[in-house]
Amino acid sequence: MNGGLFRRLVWRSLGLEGRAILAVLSVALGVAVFLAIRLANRAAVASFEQFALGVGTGADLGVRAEVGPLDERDLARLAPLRRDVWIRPVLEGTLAHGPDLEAMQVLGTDLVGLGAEAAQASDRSLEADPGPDPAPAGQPGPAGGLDPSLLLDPDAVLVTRALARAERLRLGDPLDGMVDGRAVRLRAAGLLPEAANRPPLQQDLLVMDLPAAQRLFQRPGQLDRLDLGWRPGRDGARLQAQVAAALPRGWILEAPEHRAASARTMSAAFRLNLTVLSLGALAVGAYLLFQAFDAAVTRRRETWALLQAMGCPPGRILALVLAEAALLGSLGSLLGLLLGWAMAQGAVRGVARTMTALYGASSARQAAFQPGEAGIAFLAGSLTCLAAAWWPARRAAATPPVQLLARGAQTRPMPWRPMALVGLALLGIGLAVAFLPHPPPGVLWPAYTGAALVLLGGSLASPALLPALGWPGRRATASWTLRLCLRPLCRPTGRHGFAAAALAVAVGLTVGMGVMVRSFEATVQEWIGASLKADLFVTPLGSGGATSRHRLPEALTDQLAADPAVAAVDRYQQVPFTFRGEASTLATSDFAVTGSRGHLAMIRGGASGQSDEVLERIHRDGLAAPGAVASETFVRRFGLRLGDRLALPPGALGDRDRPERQASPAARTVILRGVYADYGNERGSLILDRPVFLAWFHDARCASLALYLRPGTDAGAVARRLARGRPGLQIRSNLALRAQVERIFQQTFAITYALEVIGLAVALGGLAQSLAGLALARRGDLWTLRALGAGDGAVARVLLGEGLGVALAGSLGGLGLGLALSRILVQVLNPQAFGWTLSYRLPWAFLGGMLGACMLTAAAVLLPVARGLARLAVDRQLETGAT
Amino acid sequence: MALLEAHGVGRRFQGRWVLQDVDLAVAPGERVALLGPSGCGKTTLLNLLGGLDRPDRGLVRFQGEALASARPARLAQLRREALGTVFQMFHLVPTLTARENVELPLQLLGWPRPRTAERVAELLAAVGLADRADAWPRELSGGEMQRVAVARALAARPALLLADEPTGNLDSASGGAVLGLLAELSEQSGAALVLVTHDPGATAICHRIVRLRDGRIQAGDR
Repeated sequence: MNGGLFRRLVWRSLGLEGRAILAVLSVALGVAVFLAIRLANRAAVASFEQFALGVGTGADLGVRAEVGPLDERDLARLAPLRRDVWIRPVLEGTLAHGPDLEAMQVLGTDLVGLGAEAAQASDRSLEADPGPDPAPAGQPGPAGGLDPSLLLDPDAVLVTRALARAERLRLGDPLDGMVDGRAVRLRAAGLLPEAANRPPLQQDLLVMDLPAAQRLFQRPGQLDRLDLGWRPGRDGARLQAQVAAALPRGWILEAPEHRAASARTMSAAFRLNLTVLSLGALAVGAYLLFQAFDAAVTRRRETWALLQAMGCPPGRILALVLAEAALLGSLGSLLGLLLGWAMAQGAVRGVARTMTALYGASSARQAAFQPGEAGIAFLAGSLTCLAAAWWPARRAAATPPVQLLARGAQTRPMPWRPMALVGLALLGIGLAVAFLPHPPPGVLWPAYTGAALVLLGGSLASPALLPALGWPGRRATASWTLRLCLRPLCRPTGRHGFAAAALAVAVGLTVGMGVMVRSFEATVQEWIGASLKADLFVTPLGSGGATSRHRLPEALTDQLAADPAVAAVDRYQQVPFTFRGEASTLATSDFAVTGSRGHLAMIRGGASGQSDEVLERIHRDGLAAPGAVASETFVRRFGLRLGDRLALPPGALGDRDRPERQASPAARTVILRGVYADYGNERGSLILDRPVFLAWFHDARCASLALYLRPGTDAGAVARRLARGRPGLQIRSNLALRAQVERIFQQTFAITYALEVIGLAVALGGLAQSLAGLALARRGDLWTLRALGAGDGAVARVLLGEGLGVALAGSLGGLGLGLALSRILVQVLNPQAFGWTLSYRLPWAFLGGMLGACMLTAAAVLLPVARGLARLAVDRQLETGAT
Repeated sequence: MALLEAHGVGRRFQGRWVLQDVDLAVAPGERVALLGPSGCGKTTLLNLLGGLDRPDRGLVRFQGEALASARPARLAQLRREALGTVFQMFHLVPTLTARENVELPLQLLGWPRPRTAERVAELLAAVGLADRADAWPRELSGGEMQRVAVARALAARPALLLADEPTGNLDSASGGAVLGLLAELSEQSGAALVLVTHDPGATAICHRIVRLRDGRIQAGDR
């Protein structure tokens, strides 16, 4: 392409046109939102993976129990392999630290073995750092050589360099926090070494000696996992087989990457949904860009026609328009990268909070700039701009010059009828694809494909609302101003159609998201109201999030249960377990109490959603015919049905003291008796009655207690009394817990709310641009009216009416489109992605507010434009060349 | 051999024949006026002769080549190399100076810069606008804009010049000057001229007048 032509015909005119700035800003905003979400997701999941992984210890293999913890005594079985395999036992816990009681990961491991291995290790993290720079005076020094005094101090911990800096820790400084409801004081005794060729350690990691950790968490003789590695020069495959053969019952092998992969998989649906939602801003931007380029091509049609008349090949014209689009797209994308990185710093906390609430601790605080993600975002913005300009560019290149050069050429009406038919067909196909029967869990492509088709179909069909509004209006009124302002709607041009379609898409996306979020909100509120029946709820201070490790010891729970004001106690405990090769949660509750006093929102297995008969039956059956209830997510994930017999893995603890269990390792089987709704755990749970759980797994600790008080008891007074002398407990009333759960759910949707607002802002900005363009395009008509004697007010009303008509058509189209989209989001995507069934609720106030906002924006934009144009002198027509 | 021939040409718009049975021949270097009232099909015929439109009946040959069957790329090439057009509404690109507007056809041909600059300077001098070379179209009068358009149309030394009511938007003095330029420059360059006009006075520069009425060439005029 001739650079001179580009410079003169494209580059030079960009500086003269405000639409170029608008186009750049549209792309920039779309790219910024997309990149911000991608960077925030990355940061949050990286932090979460680190949490799930523990710390990268360079292990070749991992060992953990299928249910609950490992028994340290069984390590002896692996002793013969120690010549070829190094074995590092690990116990994990959390320390709630700081005013916000943020979860810090505590890793207990064999520091002696760690020091010994460091001499041989070549590329393992967590080995002694051989020679970092000396720490400044007063700062924790490097952990080179591992000072043996660490092993004598039960409160000593190694901290990361990042934490030491952030908290200004000096050697020996205290690190206070809560563990299992107990106030504890640890001591910063050194820095964790970080290998240059490994990812940086997460900031909130603390490492201490294993026995000290076992004392701290009151888990004597327990381990959470073993990390194994091959000594140099050994045959890994052979050793792995030997290890597998030596493992006691209930222990399983696991590759370290599997934990990270599981962590990624768990949150994949959530992150994918966020990413797709973030594309909404780009999608809306694409429509706005399409409109802008179409208007630009129309405005410069004489130039394109002239070039063709002079023999310029159509391909060169196409290239000129696309080159302009590429330039604007690139500029917008570059600006978007900067904006996006900045926005990511705000978004990352919101994403991390959600990940913590749903999946486990993610302590990400900032989002690093990722060249790969930036490249993807840049490409997305540039390609969106090119795609938006493609059709107008083809139009510029393909239309015969004689049509464009004809004097008084009129803009042709758009073929809205065939478009509407195609649009409705796509809408129908989209709904059919989205609602395809029985897709496997986690398969999301039908939902996304269906949603995309619905979006496209709705945008094509929306312009049909213009004549639908225009014709009846014209027939119904004798007012000439109303008839004049409705006339363009009866035969809408491409400009009208695109304005309506762009608004419909933007409103549709916002409505779809809004209905989904509010349906979720309403469902959760109902669920909370039905499920939380106890008077008081007791948890260790600082517990929170899906994988909190804080527990209440048995002695404490017995004390609370024995209080004279307490009529009944429901003890809830949960442990990680592997079911059919996948990580999930095994929980227990006092079904005798839950059945008679509490409530599980049953989806299947109970009459009319009542859980009492199911739970009471399970309690009656006891160990004779053990039953269980499972959450909806669990059932979907594993394809279960009522009545299924589920084989549970043996617990690794305790059986060694029960020879009869060792002698007859019969599988533990439960019968699935009910399915309940649970919106607090996306991984799913299987709940056993407490007597059965204790008999099989011997874990009497509790994650939380639900206290049912005697009638007439003042819950507030009881809470204060129970809390006295127990500073590590958090005791909340029923109302307070409901409020907190609702707050958590609000936090999880903070990002979605932000995306809604951005989408709406883009929609309204685009609406303003479209309507201003429509108004300016009619100035010739308006001046003719004034020349014929129409007053300023009448002329302004004509303009206002047309613009409001377009805004109304777009808004109504968007409402319809959004409702169709919301059906897919609520009834297909959420169950498929998260395993949750939601009630579909229409938030009328929100929908009304959307419609109102669009009409108000339309009026706010049109009023000054209409007044300005109406007052323009007739002879300005000659100056500006209007016909 | 005729430079340009039209045989039995007809064109229909929305079911109505605006041109019927048009036969016309233009020799190299000949200046022909298409004269007729508004709406008689003059501009339509001009567009057909210039390959900007295709007839529904008959054929148009330019330099022996049938335009209707020529591929779009070939038509574009002909318009670049052998045809120049002057429009009633000037159609100067508003974001280019007078000089740059005249350079446009030469850029499309890929002429080197020095040769382009020399040719443009020569043309602007010929139309009397050498001192207005860097003016924007909005700074030029109607007559000046049309003179720039004439210079642009002749930039590539076309074999055929098409002028559609070149004086329609000008006052009589400016219009006369433009007609004079058209005659002089087409004579100098050897280009044939087909001039569409509704003004009988404008036909004075032409060798032959062809009258059109209701889409047909009147008897005796070919």
